[in-house]
Amino acid sequence: MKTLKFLVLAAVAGWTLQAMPAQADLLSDIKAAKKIRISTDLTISPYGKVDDKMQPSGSDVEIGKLLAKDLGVELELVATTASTRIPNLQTGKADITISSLAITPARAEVVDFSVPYADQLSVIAGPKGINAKSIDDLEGKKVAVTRSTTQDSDLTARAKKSQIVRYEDDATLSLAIASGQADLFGTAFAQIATINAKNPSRELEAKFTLQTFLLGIGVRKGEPELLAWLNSWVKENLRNGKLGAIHKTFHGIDLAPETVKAGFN
Amino acid sequence: MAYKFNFSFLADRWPAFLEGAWLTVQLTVTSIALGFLVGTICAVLRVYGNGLTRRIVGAYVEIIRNTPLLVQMFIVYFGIASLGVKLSAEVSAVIALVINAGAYTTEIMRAGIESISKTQLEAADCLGLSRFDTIVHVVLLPAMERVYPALSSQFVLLMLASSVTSQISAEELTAVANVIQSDTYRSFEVYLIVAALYISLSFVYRFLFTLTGMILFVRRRKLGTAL
Amino acid sequence: MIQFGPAHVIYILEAVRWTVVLSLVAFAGGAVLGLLLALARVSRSILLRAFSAAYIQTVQGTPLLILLFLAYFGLSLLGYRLAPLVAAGLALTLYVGAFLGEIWRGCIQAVPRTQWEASDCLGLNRFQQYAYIILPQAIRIATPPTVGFMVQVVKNTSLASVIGFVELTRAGQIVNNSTFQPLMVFILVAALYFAICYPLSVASRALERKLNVAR
Repeated sequence: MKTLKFLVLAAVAGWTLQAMPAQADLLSDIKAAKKIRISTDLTISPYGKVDDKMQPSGSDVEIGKLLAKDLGVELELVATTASTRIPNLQTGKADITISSLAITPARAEVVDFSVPYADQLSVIAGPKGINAKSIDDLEGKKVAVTRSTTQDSDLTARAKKSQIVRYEDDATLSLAIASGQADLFGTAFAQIATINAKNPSRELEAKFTLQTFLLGIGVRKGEPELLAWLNSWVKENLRNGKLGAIHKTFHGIDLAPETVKAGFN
Repeated sequence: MAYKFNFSFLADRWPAFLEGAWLTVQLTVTSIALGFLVGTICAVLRVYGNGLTRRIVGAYVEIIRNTPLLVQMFIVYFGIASLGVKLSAEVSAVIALVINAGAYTTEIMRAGIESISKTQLEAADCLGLSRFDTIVHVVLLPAMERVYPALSSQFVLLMLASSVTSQISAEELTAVANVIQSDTYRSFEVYLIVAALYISLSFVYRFLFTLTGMILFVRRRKLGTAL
Repeated sequence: MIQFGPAHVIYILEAVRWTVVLSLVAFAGGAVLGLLLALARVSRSILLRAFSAAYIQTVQGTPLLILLFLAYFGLSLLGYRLAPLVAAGLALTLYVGAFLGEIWRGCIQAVPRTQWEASDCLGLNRFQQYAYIILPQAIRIATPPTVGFMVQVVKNTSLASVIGFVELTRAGQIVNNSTFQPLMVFILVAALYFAICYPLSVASRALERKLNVAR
């Protein structure tokens, strides 16, 4: 075991590749182009979705619009899937990513995050009859999540005695709950209302809070000017309440105190 | 700006990759075996069956071949669940893959069966072979030999296509890769590893198919003549 | 709450054009590469044969999703920035070419040996042998499996969503995640794929029948 681990490490250590040509600072480029390219995944309602006229909508989309307006440039939304949000950023196909990216240390090694601009209240939910008050109550039970979300990593790390069942997106998760493939599930608080509206008979409710995840705007490494501008923009808009208002419109709840606090640091 | 490849996450995560690849192997080997069985039976029914069975098999093949595997998978997994029968993701995945592989096998085997010359059947008749013996020994094995390359290609494709089972929560290779990618944001590295694993798997499958072919079709090997 | 409505149906219908465009690009590029590969596979040069065989084996073993990802993001990392349609075209060409190359090799080899010998006797050179004797016959054998494979390509273009194309499947996913009505959305998506693919399948079988009669 140990030898193999060593070999793997040795084989991959320090392999670098000179890739992108040297660039001027991205913030000046954006201003010069009079256009900012923001990548967002439109399948993570209510952060990114389409409205009934098939226009991009959701809290991340609205925040992107506000940001572009304040920067005085045009907004170009780059359609992305969940797994290509970061590659789009790294290869310069998008300038920034606003797409419910939760800030974690491992991820921060690969991309830079702005200070938190929003958050995600993560909960365990289930039908009325089922009793679950803490992670311990999930022991031996099947818990559904959307794959690669923060709830997924959180439960995988903490609820080791539960069977975690992962679905590809929120709609599939919702279908799994509706069709009875799973009862308990980890999700963003705002999702419960959406799923309930489609399946009133399941009478879903939040059982307990897992954690509040702070969401950051993703920027390619090595763009200090852009990052600094984003940080001050986020703080200003947390202070003046505009970000909070957008969150409330789409999620039905206020931003968490720790997010708002970031605006005053 | 230089992108620095960093595979250090492999130190912790390589068992997960292997587990994912192992589930991919289990899902696909089961589905290939059962799918081949279903497909061969359907192909025989399609060629030698009566009007009704021909039509049913024909409809089955057309519906499956002309719609995406993902949708078939959804209907098996969620459709059956809403009838009250709860199957695990793996079982549902195998059922959907078998239905899918069966349809492609039917079509390929049908072409093989139809390519068997009528004189072979007449000769079998003269030898007094039963209908069943004729179909198994005179028709199926030579038919399979003729379409064997197409068949093995299709099964390798099935192995690659099995990645969509991740959508209904089967934790196979692609699913594992997506989770690791999202935890570490090392997309390029993860994609390269996954590509290497799928290519290795496909080489192993091809090797095994060639080996099986050599064992099954002894006649060809001995005589060294093409059909 | 967003209800599944006519706007969603129109959105999904409009996405069909990308499925069609990507399929056409895949077929056009794949046919050219596939022909070259098939000829290389049956070439007299051992080097060409080995190279084309290795190419076909490797590409056939690689998931298309990964080819698309590498063509768009991977090349970009190396400094080659391709437009999405170019990157998709490249990846699909590499992929379809590998499969058509193998299918067509079989068809070229299925032309009876006596045809080669006869054309040798007539003093035709290699190019003439292919152009006038072998390929016309091989094409007739090749039509049904080629069209059959195209049906799979049409469905596989859904993977191009990884580089930003909102084609049929992705449009379905977007609508689905806004309306949360998966079964309705996916049955519509399946019906549209069927509408594109079924005529191809029927054509394939009609051609096959015609060829059998000709023989």
